[in-house]
Amino acid sequence: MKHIIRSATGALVVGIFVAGCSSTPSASDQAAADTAIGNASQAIDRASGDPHVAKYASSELQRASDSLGQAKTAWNDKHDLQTTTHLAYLAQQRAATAQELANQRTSEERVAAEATRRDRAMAMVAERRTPPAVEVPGTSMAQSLAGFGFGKAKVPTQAKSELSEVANTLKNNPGQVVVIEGHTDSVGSPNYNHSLAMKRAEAVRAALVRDGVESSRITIQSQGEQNPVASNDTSAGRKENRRVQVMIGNTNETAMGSSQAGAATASGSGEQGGQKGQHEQKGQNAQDGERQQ
Amino acid sequence: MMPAHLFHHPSRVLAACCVLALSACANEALNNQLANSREAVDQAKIAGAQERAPAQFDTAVDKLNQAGAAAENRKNKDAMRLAQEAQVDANLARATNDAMQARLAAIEIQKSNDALRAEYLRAHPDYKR
Repeated sequence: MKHIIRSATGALVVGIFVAGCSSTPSASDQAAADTAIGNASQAIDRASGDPHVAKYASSELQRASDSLGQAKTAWNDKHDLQTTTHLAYLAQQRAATAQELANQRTSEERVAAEATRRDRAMAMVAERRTPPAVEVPGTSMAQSLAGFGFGKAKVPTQAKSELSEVANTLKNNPGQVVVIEGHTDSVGSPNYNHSLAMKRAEAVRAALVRDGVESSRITIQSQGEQNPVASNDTSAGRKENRRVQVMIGNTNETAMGSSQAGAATASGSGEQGGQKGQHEQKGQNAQDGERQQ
Repeated sequence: MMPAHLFHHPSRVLAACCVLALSACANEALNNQLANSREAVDQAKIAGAQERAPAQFDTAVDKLNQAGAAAENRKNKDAMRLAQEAQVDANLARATNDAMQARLAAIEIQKSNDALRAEYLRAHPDYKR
């Protein structure tokens, strides 16, 4: 009987010893481990809840989860507080890193989107600010083919000689290009006049192409009723305004930098009225030509 | 003097070799970890984490120094733990730094776009989006 009690006591002592060693950690250790694992779990949950993390930093988040799993194992299997808190710390920092990586990529996406916006805005500003879409570097010759019929786009007979002069100049100078600008008087809606002016420019282009000028050297555009050279109050003035202006210039390779001057004169005469504006324009163009040489 | 018969048995020689090899492995793993941690700290520093994520960066540097000291005192386990923590701290410092930089860039370009837009609308009051 006595030896049974002794062995039972021995077993109990061993049991308590074993329990103290691995099964029931001290309350303070348990609390420390719970805190460490809890913090890491929270950080990982937060990161998992962010869709950007899943999209951009899934591998870092996975590493965080792996460390958390190891931390839990270290606690449950061995009650090794030091290893547990260490692994939980790694998990927490990795979750935070995943979050920051996702933040970075999100901001970078925003930068890219804003850059696209900016390029589009710049293009819009450029489109609206430079009046003619086409640059005429160093205009060396300008002709006005006036006297189009009211509402008509047929090249007027009285302008035939100027037209053939233009065609000859272009044929003799294969390096030059030409800009044809259609205009109307102020009768009718601006939209109608815009398309009528374009048709007049097209008619002049067709005539030049018939005369042997390559269409690749010709650019046409419409100014509608915007730039009259004479008063729209008289029938004679309106006839002057129903015109096509032809500007011959060197290509970009031969002349750089004077495109602004050419562009400004093209639309500069504005509301001046009379022939004054046009004379100034010719003078300006002649100066441009001299500057080229 | 070491008794000569200790290494007569081949299995004992083998066991001794294994112990040596294991400790060499442990050293190599620690040295690799220390090198990786140092690299992570250097990268964070190059990125500018000292200015943009100073708390995390300083923690990483502290732990790296402690890890080096522990390794010198042959406290390999401590050294390994500290080095690993230094690495994740440095990675976090760098990620925080990069995220902040990207955020600043986004704010900057957005501001300039807004200014551009305002300027455009002033110049073209007729423009409707």
